[in-house]
Amino acid sequence: MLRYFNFALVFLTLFLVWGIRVSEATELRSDNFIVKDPVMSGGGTWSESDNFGLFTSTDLVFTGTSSTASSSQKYGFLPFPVVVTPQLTATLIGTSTASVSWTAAQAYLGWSVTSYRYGVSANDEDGPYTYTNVNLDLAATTTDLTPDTTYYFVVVVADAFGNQIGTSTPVSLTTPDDEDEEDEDDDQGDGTSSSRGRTSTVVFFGYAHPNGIVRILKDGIFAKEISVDRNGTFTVPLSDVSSGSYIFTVYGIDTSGVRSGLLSFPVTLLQGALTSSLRIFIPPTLSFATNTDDTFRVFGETVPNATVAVVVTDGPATLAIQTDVSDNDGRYSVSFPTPELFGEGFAIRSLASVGDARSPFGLAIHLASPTRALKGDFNKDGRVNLVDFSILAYWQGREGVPAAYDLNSDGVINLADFSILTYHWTG
Amino acid sequence: MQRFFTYIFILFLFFGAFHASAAILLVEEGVIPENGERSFSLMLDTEGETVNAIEGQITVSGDALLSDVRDTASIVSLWVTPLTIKDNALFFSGTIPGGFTGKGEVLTLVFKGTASGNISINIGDVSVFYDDGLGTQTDIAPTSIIRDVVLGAAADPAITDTIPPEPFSIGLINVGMTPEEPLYALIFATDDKQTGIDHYEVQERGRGDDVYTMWVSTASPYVVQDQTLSSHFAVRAYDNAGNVQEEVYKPEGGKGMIGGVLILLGLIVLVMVVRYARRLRTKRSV
Repeated sequence: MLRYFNFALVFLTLFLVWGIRVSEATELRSDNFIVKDPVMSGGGTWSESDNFGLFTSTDLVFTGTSSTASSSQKYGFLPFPVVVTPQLTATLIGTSTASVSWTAAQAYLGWSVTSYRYGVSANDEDGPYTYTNVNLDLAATTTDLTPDTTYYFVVVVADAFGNQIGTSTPVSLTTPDDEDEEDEDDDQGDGTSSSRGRTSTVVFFGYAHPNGIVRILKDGIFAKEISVDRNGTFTVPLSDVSSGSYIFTVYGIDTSGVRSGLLSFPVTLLQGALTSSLRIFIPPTLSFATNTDDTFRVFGETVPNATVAVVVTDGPATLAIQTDVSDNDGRYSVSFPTPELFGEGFAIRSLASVGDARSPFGLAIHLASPTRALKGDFNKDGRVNLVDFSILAYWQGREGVPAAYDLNSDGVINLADFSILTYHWTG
Repeated sequence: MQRFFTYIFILFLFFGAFHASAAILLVEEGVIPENGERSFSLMLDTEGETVNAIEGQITVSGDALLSDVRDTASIVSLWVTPLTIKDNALFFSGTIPGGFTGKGEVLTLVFKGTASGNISINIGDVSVFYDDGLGTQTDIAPTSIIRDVVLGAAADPAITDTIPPEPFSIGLINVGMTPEEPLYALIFATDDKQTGIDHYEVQERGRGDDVYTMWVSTASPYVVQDQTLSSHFAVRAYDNAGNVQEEVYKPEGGKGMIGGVLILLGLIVLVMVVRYARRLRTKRSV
């Protein structure tokens, strides 16, 4: 036991020493102060006594460059740019295809993420890696993998000049040997283990509400849900999907439980093929509150540091626009004059953009009835799905319809009611 | 300057974003073989709008029959009524959770030529609804399309489908007026990506799976005959090639089960009372 304790103590000490070494690279500390962005001065001298220090500089103490014909000298507060590297997930599709997806890198203090280079190495984590530029995509596939081989994958983050500013931790997977593949083929042949034929995997990834939930529906039916990370990115692999044509629907729920608009993707899967829906951008959520100062507030959640545009429309006409930049938790908020300025039937919508990615418009709030309550949740289970659809279908064409089922209050159950129910669909 | 770029960005975003226009239904080009089958896609072009519900009535007259309909590649996920051809006519009504924007297939219509000539495909009573949560209809006009029936024209290749429909789950819901007066119904839905779902059948069975009713051809929701929920309920999904997927729903409890438990409890109480009475009698005699 004592041996294990000593080992743990050594490990902890090494960990702490490593952590201190990292912090020294960006900050200067004493008992009484912290210098977050140390000054790099040009020339000058440094004097010190027991109680104070004094420096002089030949340059100004703010960010800039002094240049001559043959050299230049930078001075001022020089930030230390950092980048949060991507987290990779590698999935084997069939026996010879790898699907690799990753979270978006985050760059700070002067750097910006402009592209990714996807690297693959066979049998050696240290490389050499073969790189492919995938721009800002967050997934890539490698086909024709050799059986019984371990493959390593990394993603290099590059800035606008193509310079490497970060590299992910490698992930690996091992392909099955030929015998495993033959066994699988045999299973397909006798029809006992796979009467459905070869299946595919669909990978959904993109931007959503930080720490929220993303749900996937397959042909309108709930298929899978996953938590969104704190950066507002998600990756959802949906496996064991038979070949054929599908409508996949994706939506998000933010940390306040507010649902986003739904996004639909018609997808046709060929046998054994991998399809990736690229960069899904879940629309911002939208809520409404009346302030005490003759204004009303529209707020919600989206990706952190996104430009959010909130618009007030009257049919096809755009009446007012406000913009905001979401905070680090993805929250945004804008204010408009009181609703009385707007007429009956006016609606509020919002969308967001980060870099070159832009969400579509989300659910609308209609000012005549500014509520986000689900319409069509007849069995009160918090979902609008096939159960509610079936209840409405039962009452279509019948007399004595309960008023709660007549969603547009026109006295009959018809396709207009189904359209309203479908708008609130959660699967 | 930054504000200027923001406004440019916003103007770019909203250009055409709320432009209202009509939707269009189309049937793809082609000729129908005499004495052969040929499928045509019925397409919806939303003209840039997002819609979530569509219905209409297709009637065919002339030298071909509307012999089959498939939804394997349809943008419509949920049909309000089953797709059934009757008297060379088809009513369709369905919804698209999440909405659809663009040009996509609503149905595959299969025509079988009976004589050289032509047919008229009329699409009437069409309604298409915006995905706006208000039940607003788009502008869409009835359409009439002519297609030729030609001897020797290419027919569709035969489809080989040995794969059954997808496994599915069965649910039990109350479609009654109130929770106090329940009317129980089964709900079910599945897919067949090869030839499409042809129909469903339901059978009600005793809990020992020893008493059977006839298989009933039906659609979801299906109001069960045994409202005590004492039975097991089997549902079969048939695809258009005749492949079958069967699932069974076994209600937990049910009025029949509750009745049985009450009878059992009553018997136990009765036995205990009898034993107690005997014990009292024995004590008195002693």
